Amino acid sequence: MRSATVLSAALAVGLSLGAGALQAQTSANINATATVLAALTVTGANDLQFGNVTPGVNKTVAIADAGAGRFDITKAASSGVALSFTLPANLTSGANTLPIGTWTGGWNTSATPAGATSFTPSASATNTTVTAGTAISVYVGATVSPAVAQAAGAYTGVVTMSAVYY
Amino acid sequence: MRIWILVACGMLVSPAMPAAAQVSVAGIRNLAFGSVIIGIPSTVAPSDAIRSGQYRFTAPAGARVRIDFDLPSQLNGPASARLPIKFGKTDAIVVGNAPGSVPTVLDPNPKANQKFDMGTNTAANIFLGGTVTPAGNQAPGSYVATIVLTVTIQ
Repeated sequence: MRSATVLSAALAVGLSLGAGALQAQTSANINATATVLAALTVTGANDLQFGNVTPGVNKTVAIADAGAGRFDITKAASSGVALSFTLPANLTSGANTLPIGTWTGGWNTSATPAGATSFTPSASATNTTVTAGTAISVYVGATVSPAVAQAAGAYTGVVTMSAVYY
Repeated sequence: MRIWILVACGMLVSPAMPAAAQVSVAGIRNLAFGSVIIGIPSTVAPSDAIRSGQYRFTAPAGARVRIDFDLPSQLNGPASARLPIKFGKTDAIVVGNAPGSVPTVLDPNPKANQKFDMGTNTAANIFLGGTVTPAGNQAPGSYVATIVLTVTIQ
């Protein structure tokens, strides 16, 4: 009788252990990773300045000229940005207009237009190549075309540049 | 007589031991959000062939397995900075290795009590997506956290 009791207990333990082992379980890890980029900033650094212009005579400011417009960008290292522009077709002085066009552009990772990468500013995005720099200077030039009967006055327009990471 | 009983007990226990080797899991690919922009949430879909996280597990054909994720609520960054991460109810997909296996969408969140019937499959891949939400003043830098997958044969 005592032997039978011991045997029953042994069977119960054996069955219990066997059932537990049927639930095979294992684990593995992966990582979730992200890189937060530094804030992208754009600053209008220099106005595009044509100075005095003569009626009937076109005047061009090139990106390497002192009157070129300049925007400064700060960005994350090793990240590319896409540039796009809102450009005026005319400068205005009250009700008078002065046509402006033939836009030129160049961007550089140093604060000089020398050696800048040329592009044509437009509403379409212009992608800069990925660089190790954290600062880009963008230079803008254009041509104004005063009419022979152009009204005298100070003419202005707004050039807007937008930058986004791509 | 008592010696005979001990031997019998040992025989009852031993056949169950190989069961522990019936399931295996390996981490294949990290869930990689890549570059994210301050103030803009970034989502990786589980169907993303490059950035989604991936595990591969094996289990016997015909088995039912339970799938449990240990998910982080934030990634750890520079100088104790934290980047919140969330997982939606459809952010996991499991696909068996048998021909014609149909992808099954899973909720990876804890207590979802997800099960997967192996059917004729002997292995399966689990793909994981998620969403990180950088704050407007999120510190730039690299962030990381560990995601644990546990597979249990039922």
